[in-house]
Amino acid sequence: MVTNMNIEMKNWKTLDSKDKTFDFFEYQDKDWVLIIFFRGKFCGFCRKFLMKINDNINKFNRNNIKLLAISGDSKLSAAVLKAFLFLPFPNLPDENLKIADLFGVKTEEKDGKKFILPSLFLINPKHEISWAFKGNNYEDFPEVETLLEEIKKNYIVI
Amino acid sequence: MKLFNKKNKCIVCEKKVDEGIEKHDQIFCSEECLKKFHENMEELEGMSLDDCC
Repeated sequence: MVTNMNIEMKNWKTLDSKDKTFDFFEYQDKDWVLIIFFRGKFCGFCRKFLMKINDNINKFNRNNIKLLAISGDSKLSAAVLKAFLFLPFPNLPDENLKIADLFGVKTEEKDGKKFILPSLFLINPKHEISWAFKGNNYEDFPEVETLLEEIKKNYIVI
Repeated sequence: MKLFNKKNKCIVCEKKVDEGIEKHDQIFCSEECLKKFHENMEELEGMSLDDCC
């Protein structure tokens, strides 16, 4: 599901893999941010999507779009995945799914197991959610080319 | 080995670290914990990208 909107987002803080406070507004500064929610390091679809994002990192960088990944992983797993994929942007652990809940992307399977639906949120410099994509299941990521087209079409020149 | 502020914790065993190793943008209390971290990374090698969990 793709949604175009301009919903104000309140600031939020969490602990990163180093137990240091991550302050979203501080990280964002005056740039755009693409937040990538994904299930976790053992999700192959998620790793593939992050690899494709990484392959296109220059397109995001040159348009001042910062990237931020968030998953239901533990601190250790988030750090392992960041190192494994050479991610040049933060990969935050959200083991209790508190941030996912804040964005409405926490879901529950029939057996009661909770996880994060693959989702993307494009935050503009005014701290508004400008565009969002919410997947229906764990493998439901858009093609990166489609994502770049969407950003180009609606907001900024890639 | 590098000296650290005691507020830092080893990413693997979560022990407080005043002397350790800095690698992968993380802090490790020992070579053993760094090895465990690498083993975790190796687990991901060769895993399918078209499957989940």
